[in-house]
Amino acid sequence: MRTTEESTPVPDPALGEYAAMGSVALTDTERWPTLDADGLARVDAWRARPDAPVWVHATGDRLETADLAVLEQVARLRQEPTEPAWVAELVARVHATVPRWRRAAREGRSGPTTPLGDLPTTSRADLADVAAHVPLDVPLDRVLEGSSSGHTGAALNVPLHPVSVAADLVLLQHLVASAGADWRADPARLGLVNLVDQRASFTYVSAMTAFGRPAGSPAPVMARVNLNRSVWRADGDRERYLTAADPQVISTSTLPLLRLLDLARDGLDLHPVAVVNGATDLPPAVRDAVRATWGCPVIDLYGLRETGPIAASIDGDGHVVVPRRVWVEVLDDQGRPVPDGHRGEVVVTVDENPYLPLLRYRTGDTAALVRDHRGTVLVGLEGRAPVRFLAADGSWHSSIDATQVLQAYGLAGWELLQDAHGTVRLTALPLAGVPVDPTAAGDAIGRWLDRPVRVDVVTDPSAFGTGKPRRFRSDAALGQEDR
Amino acid sequence: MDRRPDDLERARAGHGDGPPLAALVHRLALAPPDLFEPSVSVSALVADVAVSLDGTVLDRKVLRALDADLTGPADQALHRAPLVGLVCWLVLDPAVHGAPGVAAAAAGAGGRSGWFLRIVDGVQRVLAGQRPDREWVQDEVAREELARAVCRLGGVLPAGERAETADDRWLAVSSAYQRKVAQSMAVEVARAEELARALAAQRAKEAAAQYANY
Repeated sequence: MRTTEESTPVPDPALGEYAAMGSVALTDTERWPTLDADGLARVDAWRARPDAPVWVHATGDRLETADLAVLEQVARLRQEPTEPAWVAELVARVHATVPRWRRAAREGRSGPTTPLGDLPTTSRADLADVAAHVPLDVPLDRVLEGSSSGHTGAALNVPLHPVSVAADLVLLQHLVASAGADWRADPARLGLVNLVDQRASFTYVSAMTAFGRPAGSPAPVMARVNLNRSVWRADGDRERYLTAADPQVISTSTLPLLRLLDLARDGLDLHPVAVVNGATDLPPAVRDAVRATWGCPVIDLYGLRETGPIAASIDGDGHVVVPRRVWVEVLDDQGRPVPDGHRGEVVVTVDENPYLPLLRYRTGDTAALVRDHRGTVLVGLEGRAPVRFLAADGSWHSSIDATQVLQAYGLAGWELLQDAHGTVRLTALPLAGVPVDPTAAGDAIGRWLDRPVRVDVVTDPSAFGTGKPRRFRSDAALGQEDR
Repeated sequence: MDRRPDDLERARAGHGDGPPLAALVHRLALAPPDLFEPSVSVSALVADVAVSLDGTVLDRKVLRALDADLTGPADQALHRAPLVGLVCWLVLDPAVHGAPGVAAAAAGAGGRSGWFLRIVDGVQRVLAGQRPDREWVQDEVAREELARAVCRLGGVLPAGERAETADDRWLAVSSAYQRKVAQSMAVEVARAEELARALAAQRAKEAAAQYANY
């Protein structure tokens, strides 16, 4: 496999973990315990193409035979219109096994029979002490580190389980089928590409052993691919690789999707059966552009790293709660339920990830809840806007890059603002008790945008307000015509 | 009141107008030192108290069982006898057995001696072995623990206290409960360290292939 012989430099000295193959630990048979030699050879073939990018990482699905049976059950889950029985069971279970709720029981604040609606909500800030939310009785031998970086502020370190990660694939199959698309494994193509466009990102090739398919047919292969030109070896490799892969499903977020649409306009010939958008709002114009370009359905998947998928929109008309163990409430500022049809904060109770069952988790996103023939629907979902910053040379940069840099310099929180004149101001909250140099973080942002950065240091997290942090804002587009 | 103090759930019942807590605590401080002497027959003391409360004469079977509990080999480590002796001392106080709440609780227990025997039984279960014998009278918190245990086991609230307050204060002084909390927290701390190690392991950092973006 071609990985380390040609390494691209990391874009900032603090991003060492993104050095090619800097984070690998396993053998391929440990990555895909159920995959045979032919399956491993198929993975290697997609890794080793001469036009492949410099892969930054190697990772598998880690699924064992028993997991595949569990995932078949996941495929049969249905969403229920009233509070399902598993919610009360979860409330009882966490009061015995989850430190945060054991403490509440000890202190008499709640107990195993407390109705869900009488329990306090959980915020993203609460998860900073993640161990308080991990059940004591689940063996930790399969825990995976899932970092929730992205568009919105400081990272959370979320413990993930291979089965709950793979359940996303089972859900995507269900959603793609619901959208009327035909997604059958095609050995000549990549079954899925997870597409990013960042200066630094983990990229890899993997086999999708959880993909539902007729017995005996091989597991399709997927790849996580970075569109950023810097990770490809030669001009044209990116287009050659993607053309050869012709991925059946493109799973991405808005900004890489816009980049891919640009490439398609420039002649990149792809034939996706469906496009899946996540992590960021999907403007209707982008949905329309996908339909016009490839004629395939677009599924907008709404979820958080800490909760997993919550709802999906196939037609652009509201997000339907997905058939998983997820129960959605919409609450007002005081935490009281709002009537159906009224906007409030989306709050979810979820029992999917064995390492992180959550009761009444505040997403920080808002929507109105309606119930119709499709099930429970979130209407007008808001709160995941991508933010782009304008560099001195006129190019636009995604806040994901800034998140990586600011996290790498150890900031616990920040606000990065760019005004209409392009002036950049960083408000930095260093992690208490850790030697951190906010000025160095400001310098890194300065190098990223090639602009001077004013740095203000704060010591109190409340300086940023409550709820899910909204830590990026750029008004630069107001001062300059967008590209 | 049959809840154990190490129950993590809280009890919110109890008749109001029980004895004043201060009276119980004060009386414990005045307990005769003889109660801690091994030569004292505590089961005989229990029989005397039953007679004096409502004229009940305990049958021989009950007394033999009590004798076996309080003097037999099973009691070597638990030291039940001094505790039961202290309960006898407390209950004999008119401020205790004459409290209006006690009358109501006794009515539901087949009379004052039935109510008293319920406490005798409960105190052995709940407090035996929790503290050195003399601490129950010499230490301020221990006196409150025993006084509150007597109220709780007797199904009454200390005079002037609401059920929630009584419950909170009981859990604050209960040795068994506090020990359980400490053990529970130690388990949680150890688990947090285990989780940090597991997440820091390179195999956790390699993660798994992701199919969607969040």
